Amino acid sequence: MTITVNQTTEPVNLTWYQGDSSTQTFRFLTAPDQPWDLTHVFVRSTARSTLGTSVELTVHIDDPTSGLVSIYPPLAGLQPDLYDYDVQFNDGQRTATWIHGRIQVRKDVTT
Amino acid sequence: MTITSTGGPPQIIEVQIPSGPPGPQGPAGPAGAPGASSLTDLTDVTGAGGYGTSPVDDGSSTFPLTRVTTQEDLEAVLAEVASVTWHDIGAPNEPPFLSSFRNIGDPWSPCRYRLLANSTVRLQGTICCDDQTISDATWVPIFTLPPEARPDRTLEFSALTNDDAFSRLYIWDNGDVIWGGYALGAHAPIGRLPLNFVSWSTAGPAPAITNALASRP
Repeated sequence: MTITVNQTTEPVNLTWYQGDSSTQTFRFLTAPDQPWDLTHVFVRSTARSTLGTSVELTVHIDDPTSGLVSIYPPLAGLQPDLYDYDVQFNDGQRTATWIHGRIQVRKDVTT
Repeated sequence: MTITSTGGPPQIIEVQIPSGPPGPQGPAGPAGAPGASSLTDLTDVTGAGGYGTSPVDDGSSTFPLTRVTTQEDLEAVLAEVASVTWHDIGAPNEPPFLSSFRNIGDPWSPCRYRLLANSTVRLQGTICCDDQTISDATWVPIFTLPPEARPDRTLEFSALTNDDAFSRLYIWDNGDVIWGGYALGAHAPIGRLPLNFVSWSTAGPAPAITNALASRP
């Protein structure tokens, strides 16, 4: 799935299950098949619950030159709720939020 | 369009940024023209510049010079409001007593008035009249107020007289303060006429305010 984004793009909504090792990987491109070199780019992601509690999501960049960014729930997991989240990039010069949306964390059945 | 990814095996969402990622900051541009060094250098400012003035946007893209209200200005206003300046009837350069009226003397206040900063006149004092024939008179002037202390319309009051009678008192719109004769009680020469209750609004703004406005630079 490829989406073209700008800072007013549609949200990317995710559905995770409580207790699962959920993850979502994004591949950022500056042109078709041309990954954004994320070397020296600092990436953060935060989710906010319906009660206003902010949770820092874990961001992992395996290979900066591949443009791959993965976000994970925190080690303590996320409680079932509907969270707003975004992914923010800072290259030392400016800050931009390229991904935003909602994470629905569903209560699991199998514990 | 809303993109939704629901559980399942991990999938990669490719995100294409059409204008590319934010690049490094460019070099500094050329220096701009030198700024104004005085108010008159500012082409969108009108009025005569000087100490205590400031340009303020008037909503039409021009910036008239507007006087700044300083702490000293505020203190001067407060001092003016708090000041007490009496005009004693019969004193030099003040309205004279008429019709043989005079102050009754110590310990009672002399007849005098003052103009408050809120365009109100306060009159006080206790007077008597040496004319013994006043008992049955009805229209006897006591003194005449200057224009800035006059009411805009004629006012009537009643005044305790000789401690046992009431007489009429008028503040005429031409400034005449008139004893109008007895209303109740014995008609007797006036040995005691207190004026401590009389107050009115002037026809125009208080000189303290108009003078202060006129003295502004």
